Order: sequence, then structure tokens, then C-alpha cells
Amino acid sequence: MTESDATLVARIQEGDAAAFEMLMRRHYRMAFLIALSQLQNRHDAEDVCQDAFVRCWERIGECRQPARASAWIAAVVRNAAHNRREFLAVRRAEGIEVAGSLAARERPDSDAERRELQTRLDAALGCLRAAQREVVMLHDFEGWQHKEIAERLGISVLMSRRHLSDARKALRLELADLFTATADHD
Amino acid sequence: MTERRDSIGRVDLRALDAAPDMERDEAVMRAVMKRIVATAQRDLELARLLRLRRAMLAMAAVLAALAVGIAREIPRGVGETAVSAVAGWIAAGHVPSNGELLAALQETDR
Repeated sequence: MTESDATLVARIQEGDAAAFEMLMRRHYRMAFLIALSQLQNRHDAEDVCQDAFVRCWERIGECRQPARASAWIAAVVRNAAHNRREFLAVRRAEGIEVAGSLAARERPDSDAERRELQTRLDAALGCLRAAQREVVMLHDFEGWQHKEIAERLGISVLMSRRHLSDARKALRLELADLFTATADHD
Repeated sequence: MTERRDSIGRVDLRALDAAPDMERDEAVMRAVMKRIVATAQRDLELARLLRLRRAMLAMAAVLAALAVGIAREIPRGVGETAVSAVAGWIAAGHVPSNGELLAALQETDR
């Protein structure tokens, strides 16, 4: 039987590392997509996830609603990603190349077209608000339904729908040349 | 029905570098667990040291209480000569000779 988040959090608060590993595995994908939606770089998103989960372990006592642990984890990851983003912005402004970004750019990838599309998508996603990016990634990339997104991120289903609709509209505007007269059904 | 409607306007994000990568995901999770175990071990050590310190403090308190009890049993004046001699040596930075030590002890015995 699968243990609930609340049960796992209670075990973690007793110092049970195995319970933490179960909770992390359950929510890793969500955490990764939240980080990626802010940073648009896999390497940075993975680094942020690592730091954020260690922070979750250290501050598990601050998880006041164990049944909504996923929303708490999402908030910790969001904060960590935000801080990382600010840090990277400063580094870039100072003209210091960031190792992770450089590695991503130099990754051998024969499909130039795909790479260009990825760059366009990254740029378009960058124009969205953080919450919109998270919802569109979880819904349109990961295939989650609004109910699940709402539960995991700690928002209402209505808000999830709204973020998705706004995100899609903005993406279509940014990527107008890639869309061939597709009507928005939302 | 509504979910199906949502999927109609779906934006194709497959070109993003976001697909699950078991190996990389596992590596990140392993790294997290490694850091957590290290932290937990450090915390355990710290807790052990704190427990040890608490035990030592308790032991020191007991010894102090015993010393106070013993001191109250000793008649006043006994040992005062030796104590004042030692205090004088400390104040003067003087290292006593064997003779001086013996003399101080004999004074105390009297």
C-alpha cells in the first residue's frame, strides 16, 4: 500500500531518511519541471532540485500541512530556482560565463532545427509568469490534469485552468509563425 | 470532457530538453540522499557529544556537591596554612621547593 504524504512527513520528522527518499521520488519530476520552467536549463534545474530537496530534509519541521507536502516542496523548489536565476543573471551581467549554460550550448546535437525550436520555446516560456510556466509545463509537457496540478501546487483547479489558458495564448503570440491557424479551444 | 477540451489547445513542448532521463534523475536523487545521510550522521555525532557533555556536567555537579559536603565536615582552620601558602606562591609566581612544600604540609597537620 502506498503511504500518504502526511505519513511520510511524520516519519521524516522522526529522522527517517528512507521515508524522505520515497517522498522525493514521488515529487521529483514535479520539482524538476518547476525548476526547469524558471531556469530553462536542465543542468541548472537539476542542481536546484538537489539543493532544494536537501533543504526540504533540513527544514521538514516547517512543513505545517503534511497532507499538502507537495505544495510545500513546490514552494521550496520555486524559491531555490528563483534565487539561482537571480544569481545567474548577476553572473551574466558581470560577463562571467556559467558552466552549466555553456555545457548545454556545447552539447553535441546534430538536429539544428530542433535546437532552434528549443531555443524559441525557451525564449517564449521565458516571457510567461512563473506560475503560468509551471502549469503549462506540467499540463502540456507532462500530461497532468488540472486536478492533479492544483493538488500538487496548492492552487485551485480554476486557477490552474486560467494559468494554462493565459500561457497558451502568450505562447501562441510569441510563436505565431510556428502555429498554422490553430484555434484556441480554451 | 473538459480535460479533453484542454488537450485540444495543447502546445507542443516536446522540443524542450525536459523529457525524463532516468539516469540523470537517479544521479540527482542519489546525490541528495548522500548529502542527507552525511547530515544525519553529523547530527547523530553532535547529539552523542551533547549527551556526553550533559552526563559530564551532571557528574561534575555531583562531585562539587560531595566536595562541599566534605568541606563542611572539616573543622575550620585546618588546611588554611597550606592554602594561604599556595595562594602566596601563585601570586608571586614562585615555584615552591620540596622543602617549602613539606613545611607547608607540616603546618597544616599541626
